[in-house]
Amino acid sequence: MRRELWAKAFQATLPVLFGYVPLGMAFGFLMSAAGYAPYVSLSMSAFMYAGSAQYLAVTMFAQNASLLTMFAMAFFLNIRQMVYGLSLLDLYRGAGPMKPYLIFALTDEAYALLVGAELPKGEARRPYLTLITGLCQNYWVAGTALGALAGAYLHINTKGMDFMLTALFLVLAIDLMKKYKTWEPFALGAAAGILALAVGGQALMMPVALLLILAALSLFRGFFEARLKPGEGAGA
Amino acid sequence: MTHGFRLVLAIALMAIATALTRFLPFWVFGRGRKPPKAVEYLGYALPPAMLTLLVVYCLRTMNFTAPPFGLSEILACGAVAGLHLWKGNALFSIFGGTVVYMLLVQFAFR
Repeated sequence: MRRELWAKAFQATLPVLFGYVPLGMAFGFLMSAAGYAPYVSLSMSAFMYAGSAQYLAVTMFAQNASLLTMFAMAFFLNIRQMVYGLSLLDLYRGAGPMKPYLIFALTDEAYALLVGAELPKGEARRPYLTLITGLCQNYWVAGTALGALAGAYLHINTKGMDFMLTALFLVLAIDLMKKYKTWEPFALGAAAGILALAVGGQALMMPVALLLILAALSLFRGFFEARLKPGEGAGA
Repeated sequence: MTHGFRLVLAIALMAIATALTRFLPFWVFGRGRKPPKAVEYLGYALPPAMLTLLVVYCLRTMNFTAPPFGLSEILACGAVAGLHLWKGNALFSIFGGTVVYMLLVQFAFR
């Protein structure tokens, strides 16, 4: 029974293994290339466990961004995950002592596995939720460790490797655009970024852009709500 | 570069910010209360704007006034988009585009 459950969970998380290990490795490698010891990238993967925010942190560390910017960026970058929580309230009700961990480690991919796949019924469900969630984070941490060690010992020319971050966000934006079938909120983000860069310069770009986006989304809520059909696009 | 105690603080703050986005719905709406419309609205309206903002943020150091006039970034972004629209495999597009960029900045436009 236990073994069967492990096998089932491992099988279900295989796609995440193939996604998290290379992306975790790339993160660890970038951190090492930026001069950080492996324990720094490892503690980020253990305690933050948020792929895009961790990648973004590499850049923000290099720029020595303000602590408030880092906090706000991590928050607003992950705010989509609030929607996940909202749709898991029922599933997690009575999830037992592991519930805090299940919530802490609720990434896009874990969410997709939990809502997309068939869950075992009865008493096998609780350990299964923990297995799925825990396996995913282990893949991420293992990938980070591999990448951080490789980065610390391999000396190759990494110039330009930080483009991976740009590519990651571009790919996520394209995927989301396909799902949303709209362009206005995407244009808003780009326009706010360019305007903020022009006004605030590189140092103040992010806080200014965030304020612009939040202001525009609040002021023109009727317009954006009409463009974005709730329910269809929710959950990036 | 962020280091020392400031680095510890930065990681802790980002960990708290991330955890907040995951725990808040359970704390606030845990007892059968319905989330306010504004939260739902931001939850689906913010992600697209955040992602394109981050693309611009990553490209903030692009230089259009000196050779190669931002050509490496433009070509590599084109490669990422092209690969992604062609194959639709995220890892393939990310790593492929990064290799293109590294080749461009290390060999083509040194």
